[in-house]
Amino acid sequence: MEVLHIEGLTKQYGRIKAIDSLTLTVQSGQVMGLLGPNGSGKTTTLGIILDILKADAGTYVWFEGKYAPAEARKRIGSILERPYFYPHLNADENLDIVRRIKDLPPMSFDEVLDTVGLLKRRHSPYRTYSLGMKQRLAVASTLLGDPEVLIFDEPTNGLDPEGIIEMREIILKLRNRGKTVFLASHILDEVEKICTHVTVLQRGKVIASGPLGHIITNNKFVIVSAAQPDLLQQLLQEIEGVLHITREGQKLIVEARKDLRPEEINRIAAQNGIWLSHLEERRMSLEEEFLKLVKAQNTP
Amino acid sequence: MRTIGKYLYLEWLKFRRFRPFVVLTIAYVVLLPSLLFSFHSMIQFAKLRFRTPEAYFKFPHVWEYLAYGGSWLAFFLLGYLGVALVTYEFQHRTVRQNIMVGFSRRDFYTSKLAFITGYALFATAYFLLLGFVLGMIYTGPNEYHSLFQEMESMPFRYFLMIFSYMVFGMFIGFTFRKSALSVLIYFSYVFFIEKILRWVVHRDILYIEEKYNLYYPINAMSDLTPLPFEHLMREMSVPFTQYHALSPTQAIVTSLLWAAIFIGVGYYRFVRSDL
Repeated sequence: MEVLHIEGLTKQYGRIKAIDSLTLTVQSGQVMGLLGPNGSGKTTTLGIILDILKADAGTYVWFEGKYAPAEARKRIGSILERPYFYPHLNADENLDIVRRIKDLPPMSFDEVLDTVGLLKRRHSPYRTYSLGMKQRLAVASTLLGDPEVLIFDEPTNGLDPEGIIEMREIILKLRNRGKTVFLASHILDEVEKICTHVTVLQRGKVIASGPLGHIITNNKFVIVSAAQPDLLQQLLQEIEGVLHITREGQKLIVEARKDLRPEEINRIAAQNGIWLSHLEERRMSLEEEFLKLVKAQNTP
Repeated sequence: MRTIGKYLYLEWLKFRRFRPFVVLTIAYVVLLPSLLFSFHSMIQFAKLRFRTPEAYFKFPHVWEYLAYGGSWLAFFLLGYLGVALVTYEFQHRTVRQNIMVGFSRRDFYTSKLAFITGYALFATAYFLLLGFVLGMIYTGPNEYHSLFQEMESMPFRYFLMIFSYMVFGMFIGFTFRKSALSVLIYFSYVFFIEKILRWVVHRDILYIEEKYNLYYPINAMSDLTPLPFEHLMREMSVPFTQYHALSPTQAIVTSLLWAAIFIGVGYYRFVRSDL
């Protein structure tokens, strides 16, 4: 099922187009990463589909239009930018307000508060919480009613290393339970570790979208160096599966298909009397992939 | 009806321990009778003689004097409460949270309006109770029949007065969002902006010649429960001079129109704006 369909969404702030005819679909069960540098329109996109911001053009439909927009939001757990709660109320009281707006039956919050590790401080007013605790309460509130869809905007922002790991574990657990997750992040590593699908945004436009494996090509890099780089380069170019070689000083960076094994390079070099002083295999990271995409986009 | 109940209870949960709400409510409850008693002390102190001693505590005039005091409290306290109930949500972005978790813009706006209506009803009920108790204490038993005399549409006018001040405050809150700025604009408007406006437009601050001068929002709201000037003059045996105010009916119609405009314009903008 299509959980979310966005069509031609545009939002302008003065002369700046925060997002520009953005089109995107999230299917049920996907963990869709919305990836892009700061200011690329991630939060604006999430803001619009949560009705916090009004688009200048375009449409979005939740759950194939099965529910009215507000009713649809009751079935979504979301965090946008930072947690928003009533400072003078404690964790239970704040969650109770969320529960009532969502029309959920009366319930105990023990379980969700335990999941996020806030049980001990549940009776303190929200304003006394540290940023990490506020974030945890926000996560707890997204879990209320066990929604099918979750939206996280920069979920690890401002968390300490321990919090970051916990947050990722929570999202991975949700993924394993078949939940649909829509996650915005500028941290590539995060997207790579959590997402099944990724949409890359740059200056408000989608520059790539698809399963993680498609966006990250299957090519790999092998970095080699030897005393005779010119000769080595000539030899390597002959090997089947080598796509491209760039030279950085003494080092050769070989982009190759994923089935090329490093020992093959080593064997050919040795047969020709070249002894490698460095041989390193590396998968292309999302970061490099991202830069490549951005470059491709910018060169007409 | 069930939805309205949900809205009301939700707002109650949000604000029952919100300091301005608690403090302003206590202030209203304490000050409403206190104002009348201070008026009494002033009369005593100035050795002014009323034809009917303590007429302002007695039926039927206790309603008018008490309501006049109430209009000052609406002006200073409850209109400000209307501002605070809205700007608090913007300041802490809980308006965003409410929408994100499943309120429509309309749900949010309606729940604010429902809460303000409920609050104005509470304030009116307290006013009626207080007027009744004071009247019963100070009016002689053989004059109880005057309880409802000259009360006219007083309960409704009092309710509308509180309601429209709070609606105005709410409108300022929804328009300016930032709490300090909104409070500043609210008080500037009720204190002098409207008067300046009237002067600029009509060149007639005492509104003697120009009758349209009386139809401005704050003036109309305060004319809902005006000082019983005529009665006061008569009681103090001062020749009655003309007092320029809207008639009760004029004030009711004008205030209703203004409240409708504030509610309508506020809603129109709220459902279309970024939060």
